[in-house]
Amino acid sequence: MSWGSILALMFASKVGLLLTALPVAFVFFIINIVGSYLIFGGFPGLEQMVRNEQLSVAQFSLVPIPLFVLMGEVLFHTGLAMKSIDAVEAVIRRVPGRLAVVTLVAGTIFSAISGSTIATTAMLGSLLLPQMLQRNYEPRTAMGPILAIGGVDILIPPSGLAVLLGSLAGISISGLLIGGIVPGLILAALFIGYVVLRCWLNPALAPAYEDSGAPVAHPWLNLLLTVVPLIGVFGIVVVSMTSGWATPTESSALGALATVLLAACYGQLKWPSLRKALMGTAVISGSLLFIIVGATTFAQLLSFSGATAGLVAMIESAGLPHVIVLIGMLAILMILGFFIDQTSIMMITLPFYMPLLRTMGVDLVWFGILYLLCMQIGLLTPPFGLLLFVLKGVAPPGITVGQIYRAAIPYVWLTILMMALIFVMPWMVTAFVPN
Amino acid sequence: MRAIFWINGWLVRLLIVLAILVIVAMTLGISAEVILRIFGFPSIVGLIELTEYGLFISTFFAAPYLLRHNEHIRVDILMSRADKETARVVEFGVLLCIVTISVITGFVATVVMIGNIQNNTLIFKDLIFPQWWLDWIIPLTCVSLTLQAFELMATLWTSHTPVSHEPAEHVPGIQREEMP
Repeated sequence: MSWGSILALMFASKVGLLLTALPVAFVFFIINIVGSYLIFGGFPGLEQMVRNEQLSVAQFSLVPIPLFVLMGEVLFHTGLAMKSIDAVEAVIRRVPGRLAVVTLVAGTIFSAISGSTIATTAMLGSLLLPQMLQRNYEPRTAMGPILAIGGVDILIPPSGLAVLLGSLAGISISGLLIGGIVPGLILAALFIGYVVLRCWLNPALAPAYEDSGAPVAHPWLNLLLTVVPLIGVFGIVVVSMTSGWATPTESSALGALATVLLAACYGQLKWPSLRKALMGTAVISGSLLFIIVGATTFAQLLSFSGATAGLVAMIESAGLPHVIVLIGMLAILMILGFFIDQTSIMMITLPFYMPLLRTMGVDLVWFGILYLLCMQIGLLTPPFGLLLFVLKGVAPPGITVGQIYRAAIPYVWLTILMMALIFVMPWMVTAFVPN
Repeated sequence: MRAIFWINGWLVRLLIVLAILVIVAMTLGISAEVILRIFGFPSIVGLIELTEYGLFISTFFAAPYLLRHNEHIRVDILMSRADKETARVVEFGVLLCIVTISVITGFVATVVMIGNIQNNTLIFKDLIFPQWWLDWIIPLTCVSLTLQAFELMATLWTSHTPVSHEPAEHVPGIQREEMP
């Protein structure tokens, strides 16, 4: 059987099985069982598959995934998040679309301490969306920033997906985490600028309102006391990594421990909230890592069958300019993002992309950040945009899926604009990455 | 059969608790390692290796719980639009697939484990120990997954409620009543 036929068969069966709603990890397992038997050579092939399953997740570089998720879950369940939203809201007063801007600023702060995009979106959606709708914000103006900032969370460390990408692709994890900070902040600023401009041009989108509660006596001091310790945790993660004191995995452990200690210092760490945070961590990271268990052998089958090498050789022999190939690769990621989840996209594309990128001599950290931005777009685009489902889950009744889809569209375009900027100005990523 | 499902229910809970304990141990262990190093103490021998095995164990031990609570990531764009009877039949097929996968994987993993016990295979890294100390994880997980899938099939067979692809939790990792 030619590599082309094997490739077509594996992808067709994967898509077919995915559409039956068989869990993604089990889709990989079933293809692995058949593929290992036929391609690796009978029962020994199946034994190799089982050994792969053991080795696939037993990697030190994957450990930050549960630990970064733990940071986000602790932030959510202990109520630390609510304190900081109140503090941010007290200082942002006379701005068009005030609550939408509060969402973006608070979301950027959470991004610096939460490695769980789901937790960040759920937190902001459940806390701020009802408030915005109650104050007659136009639904799309209210929901857009919540969806958008969940995506920024992917870029600003701690980021579970960045770790996953670095680990699976063999790209420097520190490089990806540090390289994502500036694009993440610029993207957040773009989002804020867009909201302010839209609400300034059309005040009916976000009507101004008077605070009903008692005013905070010293809003800036309150912000300092509430937010600076959170930024301190971010500092621990980033500084320990950049200074060489700790590896990314060790930084993630320090960050998780610091978040728990911070919650304890605020008197917010109760057993029920800690229990829920730990359970959430096991569930989210377990579902991600179990896909890797299945997808590792899938990638090996592609490689062993000659499909990877065949496809890479075919693209090379086409003699296309590198820019076209790179744009094509990013376009494929965006298209895949419409249909499948981020972990599966990585497992499907990286076996082909990495040899090709190395052949072309592309800066891998730079491409990694562009890759993460594509993953972010995938989180926001229907029908499999995970953040759309998360927001639907926390939105009040009456908000339709269609409204949520439409709310995300402007932010998808802004993200594409950000990608174009990074594409033509790679220094936005590379200048800040430590050598 | 009901007794077996009941026992498996407790096994699933025990495994998720162990998965959580492993994550806590990893956090504390790695943090301790960095802090000790900063103060000039030597590294904890074998910690990196233990952490790697910990991640493998916590991933597999969480899997039956994820199945029980419908938390595995799945693409339901087609099935959520299918009519009730089709969705039931397909869901039955999905669970049958999971049983088949678990039985085959569990069988092969058991054969690998027995082979390693008979050959006294050792893992030689910072730590040296018999390979089967890790080999039993996959067979145990597969047994639990198989029983869990059978239980879900039995529930689907006897109940007339429509198939739901919604996870047990409102948002992954967050129960409905936990929303602020």
